[in-house]
Amino acid sequence: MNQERQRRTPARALAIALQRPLPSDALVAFRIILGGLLTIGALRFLLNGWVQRFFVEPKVFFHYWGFGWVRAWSATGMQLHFVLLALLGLCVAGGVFYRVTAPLAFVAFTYVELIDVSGYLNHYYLLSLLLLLAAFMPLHRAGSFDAWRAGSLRGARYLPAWCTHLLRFQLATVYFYAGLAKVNADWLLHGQPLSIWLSSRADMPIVGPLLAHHETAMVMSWAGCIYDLTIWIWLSWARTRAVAYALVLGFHTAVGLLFNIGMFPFIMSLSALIFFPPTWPRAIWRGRRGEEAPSSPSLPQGTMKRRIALGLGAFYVAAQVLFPLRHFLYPGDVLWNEQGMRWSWKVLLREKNGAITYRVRRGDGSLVQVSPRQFLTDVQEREMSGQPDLILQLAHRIADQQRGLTGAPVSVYVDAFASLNGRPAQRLVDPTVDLCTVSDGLAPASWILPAPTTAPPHLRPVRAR
Amino acid sequence: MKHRTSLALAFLAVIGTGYACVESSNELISTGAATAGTGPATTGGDDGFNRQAMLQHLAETVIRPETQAFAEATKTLENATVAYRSSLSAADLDAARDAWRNAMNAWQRLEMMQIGPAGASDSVLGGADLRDEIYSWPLINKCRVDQELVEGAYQNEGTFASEAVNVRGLDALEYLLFQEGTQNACAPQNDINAQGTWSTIVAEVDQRRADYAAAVASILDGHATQLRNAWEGSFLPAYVGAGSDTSVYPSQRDALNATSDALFYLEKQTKDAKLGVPLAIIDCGAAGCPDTPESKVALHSKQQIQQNIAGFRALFTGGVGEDALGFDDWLRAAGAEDVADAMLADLGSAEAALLAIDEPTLTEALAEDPASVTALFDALSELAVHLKTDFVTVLDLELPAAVEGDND
Repeated sequence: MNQERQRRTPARALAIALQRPLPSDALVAFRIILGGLLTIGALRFLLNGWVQRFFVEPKVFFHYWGFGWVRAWSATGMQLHFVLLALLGLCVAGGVFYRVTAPLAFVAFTYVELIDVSGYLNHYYLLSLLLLLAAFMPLHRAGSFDAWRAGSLRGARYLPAWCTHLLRFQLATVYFYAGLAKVNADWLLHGQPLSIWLSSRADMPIVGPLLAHHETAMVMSWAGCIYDLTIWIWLSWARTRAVAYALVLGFHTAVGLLFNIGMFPFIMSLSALIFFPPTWPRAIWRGRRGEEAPSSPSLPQGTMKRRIALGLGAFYVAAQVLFPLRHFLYPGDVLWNEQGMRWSWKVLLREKNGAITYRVRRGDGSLVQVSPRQFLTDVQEREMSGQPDLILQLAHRIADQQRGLTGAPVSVYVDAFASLNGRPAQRLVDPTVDLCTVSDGLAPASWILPAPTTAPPHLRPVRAR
Repeated sequence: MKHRTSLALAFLAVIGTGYACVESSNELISTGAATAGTGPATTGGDDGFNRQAMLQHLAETVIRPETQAFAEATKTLENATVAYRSSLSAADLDAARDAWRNAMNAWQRLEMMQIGPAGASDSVLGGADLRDEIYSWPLINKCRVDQELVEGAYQNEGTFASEAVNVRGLDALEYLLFQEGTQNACAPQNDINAQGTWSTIVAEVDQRRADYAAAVASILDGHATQLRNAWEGSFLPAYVGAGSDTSVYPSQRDALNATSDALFYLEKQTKDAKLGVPLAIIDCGAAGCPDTPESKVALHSKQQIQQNIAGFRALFTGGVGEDALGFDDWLRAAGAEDVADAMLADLGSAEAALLAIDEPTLTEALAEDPASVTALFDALSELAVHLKTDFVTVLDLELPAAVEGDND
């Protein structure tokens, strides 16, 4: 009796729960969806000419802190890289040599994301995370080319529950933190930036005139916040799941219609299927629920391996829980100083535009202005102009160039103005600070000026026609 | 059973959504907007402002009249160059030069209105590359014009029209009409000098320049007519009815973005290239600086900047009169009066700074009173900050080319 009680420690109970076999159908569907989205995403870049525009045309790329060594391939190399991504997506979807192709897909996609910070998007980050998780999961054991090679296309009927739970956790994290980020005065009290965005879409048929009204933005702001904070709960609960998923479809369709957010609605809508019971594909295609998991699964042997796996899983979960909260370590408004903005699921939270002019004082005392256009594409300049760490990176680049031209030390200052959620533009960066003396890093940035304290404006509705 | 049905419906819905949605919200707007009315714009809203009315006003009262004025100016220019070609008289040369100045003034206002057919075909909706056909600055190349002068390619208008744009636009015409003497702009090692072909035409260089000018003026008039016809014809309803008429602009936002994009000429070209570079305020880096001042031969740069600012004011305010509708009215209607006031104040400061430049030409002002030119540059810088921040934020306009790719 004591031995049994000893064995039933919380850790062991958790380990047993995570190892519990669940029908593999939903995870097979997830694998196919994930690979399919990767392929479609890569093809979009190839067919829209975005590989050339975003990875070949720029003369300068912004690096992530600690990833300055990442470089883009040549023009041909980048095109081939995206072709490879499309093929890897197919391999993941089909479970073709999955143990090799799934990690490769993660590395190849994440490499693309690491090339240029100005191209950061939350849903690209999510896709990277999902590919990382998938690379550690045995999703190829059923309904795959690999299973067919092993003797049965159907393959394993069950896969460990931790796969499903981890994916559900990941999506719940995205939703919850996206909702938490909306708990701020701009979003909830002033309906910004939704009011700005919606009123500019007043020419849309049927709903257009409604969008112009501030009240619509207020209602949608609150609804969006509550939706993000709680939808993962309703998706997790069997009694509300179907209605919740209908809400997911409605929400992401509406957001996709209103805003230019590419694959995001598809990724979220399709990934949310993981909240359904593990047999949902069979429920649709064969009309039956399928058998439940064996009631008394046995834990696999190999305690050390299990402990390492549990440790890694715990680390990942802790990182995902804590990382989006890191902006609390920095003083000021994260939407203004952007410290802790990325990888935190702060989705569609700000309308921010900036005007940047660098002033370079050369060794001979002369002063010249350098336009970001000299280095950046229009898209890069737009992204950089509201993100202080990128403004700093370009300042260093300009300093390097000017030192090369003059052969003497230079000082670089910036006149950076930004408008946040419709407020009057104000200085974002201290114009008296020589940015050559500032290093990029994780410490609070004293060279970034405080955020505006005024409330954002309440814009009046303007009719489209 | 109930559970299964809801699952099936949900799955079908997401698949359906996947097919129904297209990548850009703009495309989606256009799909639905085809059902919206296409009638004439009516003013609406509590303050009588609506965005289609603004587009209509800008198209009919600002841009179309400017294209008509430019077409008339180029016709006059063509006639003047033909007369000069026949007479080679000083009086006819003066008349041709005056006609060029008038045409250039009209064009410099239109430089601020590169919307639709005037724009580049690879980056502007409805673009037909007419801007570069008409005026290719800063890609000017006087030596290439001299080479054409030697080769005589301008004598065949059909084939000449396919030559590089910088040998057959207003910039080439400036050189042909205003260049004095028999020197050429090519380096000594250039073929026309090294092989002596230039020296064979020196005796007839005035006649050749006149012939060449007449050929360019004729081509120019054709492009001006094409631009005017577009704004008198099918482009205007596509612009005004953007979103309802999706032939050019999938949504009204696209037309509004195209119009605000045009305003950015004042920042990129007028402020930085036309003023910042000759003032040596702007460092051009490895790409090198554009050839400035803009008008080196006719010495017309100051007037050209003046016309840029006039074009900006016309597009921003919708011109003069109580019925004028422009971006300032939109800002006021939206409740952003402070942004409208600030931008108009900056614009007024720029106009005042320009008037305060006493020297008749920019070249003289740069030499004798650079502070006055710097004051104009600073005033335009203030305006540019508002343009790139409050203006685009409050009206949710996209910065040029920023609509590429996805967001968030």
